[in-house]
Amino acid sequence: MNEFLNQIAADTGVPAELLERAARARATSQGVDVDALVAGWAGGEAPASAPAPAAAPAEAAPAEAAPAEAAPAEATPTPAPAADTGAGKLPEALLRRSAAARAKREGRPLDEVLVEMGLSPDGETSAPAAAETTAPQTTAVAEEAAEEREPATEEPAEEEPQPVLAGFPRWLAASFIIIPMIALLYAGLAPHGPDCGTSGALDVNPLTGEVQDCAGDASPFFSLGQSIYTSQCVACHGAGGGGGVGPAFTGGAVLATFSACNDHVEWVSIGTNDWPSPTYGDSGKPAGGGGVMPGYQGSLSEEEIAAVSLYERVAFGGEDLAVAEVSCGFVEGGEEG
Amino acid sequence: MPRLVGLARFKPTRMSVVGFWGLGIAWAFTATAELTFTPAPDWLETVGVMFSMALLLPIATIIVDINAAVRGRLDDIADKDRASLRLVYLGLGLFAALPVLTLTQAMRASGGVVGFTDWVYGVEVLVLLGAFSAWLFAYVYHVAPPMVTRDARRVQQWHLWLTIDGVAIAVFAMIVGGLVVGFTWAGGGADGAPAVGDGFESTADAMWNYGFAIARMVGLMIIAVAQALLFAYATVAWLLSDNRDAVLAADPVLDAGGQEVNEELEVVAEAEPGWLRIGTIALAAGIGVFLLIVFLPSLESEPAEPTILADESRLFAEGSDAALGRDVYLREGCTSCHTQVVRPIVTDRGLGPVSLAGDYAHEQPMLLGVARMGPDLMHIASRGGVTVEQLKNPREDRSWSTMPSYDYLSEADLAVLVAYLNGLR
Ligand code: HEC
Ligand code: HEC
Repeated sequence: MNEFLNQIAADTGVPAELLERAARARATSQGVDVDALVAGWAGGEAPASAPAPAAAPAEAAPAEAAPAEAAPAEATPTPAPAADTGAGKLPEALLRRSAAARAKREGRPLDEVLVEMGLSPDGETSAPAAAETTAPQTTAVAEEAAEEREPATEEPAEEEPQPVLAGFPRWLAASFIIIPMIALLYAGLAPHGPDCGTSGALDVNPLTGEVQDCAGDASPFFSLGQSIYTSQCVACHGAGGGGGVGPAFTGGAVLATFSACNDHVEWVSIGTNDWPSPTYGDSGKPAGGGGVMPGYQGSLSEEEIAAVSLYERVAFGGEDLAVAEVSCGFVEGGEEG
Repeated sequence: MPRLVGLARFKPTRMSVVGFWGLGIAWAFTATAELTFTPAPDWLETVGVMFSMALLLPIATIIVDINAAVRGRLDDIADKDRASLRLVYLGLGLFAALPVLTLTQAMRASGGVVGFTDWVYGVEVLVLLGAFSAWLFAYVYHVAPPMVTRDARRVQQWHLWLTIDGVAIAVFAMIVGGLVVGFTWAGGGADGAPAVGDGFESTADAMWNYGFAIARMVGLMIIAVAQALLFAYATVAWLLSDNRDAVLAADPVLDAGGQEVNEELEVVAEAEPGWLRIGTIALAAGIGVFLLIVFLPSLESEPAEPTILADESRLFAEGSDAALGRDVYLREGCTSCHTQVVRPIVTDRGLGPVSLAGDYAHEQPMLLGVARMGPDLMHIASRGGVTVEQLKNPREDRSWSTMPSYDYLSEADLAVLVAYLNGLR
């Protein structure tokens, strides 16, 4: 960090870091070297290449400090706030501002401070600044550093009415129109949720809450099985396969008993009473252990028994329909499925 | 933010006003993202999708606004000592992901996969433990500037980096783990069994086998260390330090550097009359939107007729065991791990009959739940029911179970809880 800056900081109590930033911003906006600029501040010599020292703070301040104000402030040509007080001197407007700040801080009347800084008390005429010593100047610079972070409240641009969208980048303003339009479009196109068979959606019987076959993966065997189930089996096994007189099928129970559809079909065909062995199913359940299940080979055709088995496996057991169609013999298994 | 970068005065910018009110309005409506495919009316789900899209706007506005406030001072973020500023930016970065994640959950095509998985909690970790905590700590570190002693600053940096690491690990594990679990459910697990009872093992495996469960735990622990321990340490160190009073008296305008600050730099928040006006208009617009798309349709839709299921198995007569058990269920927070809703999608095949609005006609509140860390319990009684033993010692039968043991409940509580569950047919 520049030693001049440290000196100014020590003189004024403004953190050196702040001063440095102010200097950097100023130097950038004036296109001069930071060190030269700071040296100018401390020694009272303005950098030679400063094109318009008076206008610089007016531009730099709002642009950095208050982005919302930036656009208008930059767009309207900023009138120079006051006549330059001469080469090597600070603009009068700055001195006045700093005088006001000092008066407030030290609790003294403004006029007194103004006079002390060599400015006329009424503030209209631009008396040449009598700032021969560096002290008031460095103070002023420090004040400026402080001021630079404020929205420049005295700027004329401030009083002009501002467009409501001031500061909004154009792309953001545009998305405020585009995104709601997309949202409305969505609402218009998908007001009732996805159709059966899309987004993994299934069809649901609104009366029972049961999953029905769905246009997307329609299976005539599944429908056939469902109609047989609701007429023949529902009394003992429950509408949702939750069980009753007979055991429940849900939660994978039916697949645990019959991992293969063949065995499932065989069981439904024969039933408890004629079952050839004392146990049934993969887990060796005792036949008759849970009650008596009638055999259906007399009343239902082979295809119907296979269909109702398929239905139980898919609707309650959660087996994949395509898998069940193969294992229950409705579809040839193979490469094509 | 203006204070953090050392701006002496600031006004609320218009963008911040738009961002604030926009967030307030849009965010509330995105809550229905958690109802995707449930018996909630379809229009309500559509509202959730629309507002999840709209949520992009205020969040983009806030980010643009804050970036504008620090324009030209972005290099401050590289300054290690600016823990507050860096925390604010961390929060912003995390917050930016919120609309995308919410939209994914709300859209039906993707919500059917990620819904009820760890994803849901991942988003909450991102927002609450990530963004909001970062902002809260940034604020505390800022108004208690003095946590600027050298030591405390080092602690703050650890706080920042551990928070970043912890949130990154936990959120990644939960978001990606949630996706894997979602696809496991959609595909029916390794053996095609639905994710209930023993079949839930494939769900647990999906989280454990790829290390998501471990990463989630590690991430959350790191966050806990960063946010609780280090913060406590910073606070205590500050309380014990000698310069506490001096520091308290100091002007909190600049926390970096910690020098005494020029009086002139005192922050003056100038209320711009305009923001009140914009705020009022925004509030009025919000209420209008609410009336138009939520309140009016809800007048039109009849309360659902109780279904057979509701009358047969979800009629919790006052004072009955089932009703008392339901209170225990609610009190013990079973809803944070268990749902009671079957959605009409492939993901939920095998869980039993799909839930309809009428199924809940006799319940208030409805215990739909938010995530399935354990199996759905809508029809638990129909697949064998529950025993007291199972709740007391879940790992007895299922060694992989992550359900906490409820042996601390009184026998009476356990009895009514089991009575309640065994009535859910
Ligand atoms: C009269 C009541 C009754 C009817 C009607 C009935 N079942 Fe059963 N079902 C039972 C009983 C009882 C058992 C247990 C049998 C046993 O333990 O020997 C059973 C067992 C089963 C099982 C074995 C389940 C397991 O996991 O142990 C299947 C599969 C089955 N029934 C299918 C059917 C089908 C298909 C129909 C209709 C076509 C049907 N049942 C109709 C009473 C019934
Ligand atoms: C941390 C999450 C968590 C909480 C909280 C929790 N559970 Fe569980 N629960 C699980 C997991 C994981 C499983 C699957 C493993 C098992 O069956 O033990 C499970 C399984 C169950 C099952 C068996 C489900 C089935 O399909 O066989 C029941 C019943 C159950 N929980 C009831 C409860 C009740 C009642 C509470 C509240 C008192 C509760 N759970 C709280 C995680 C949780």
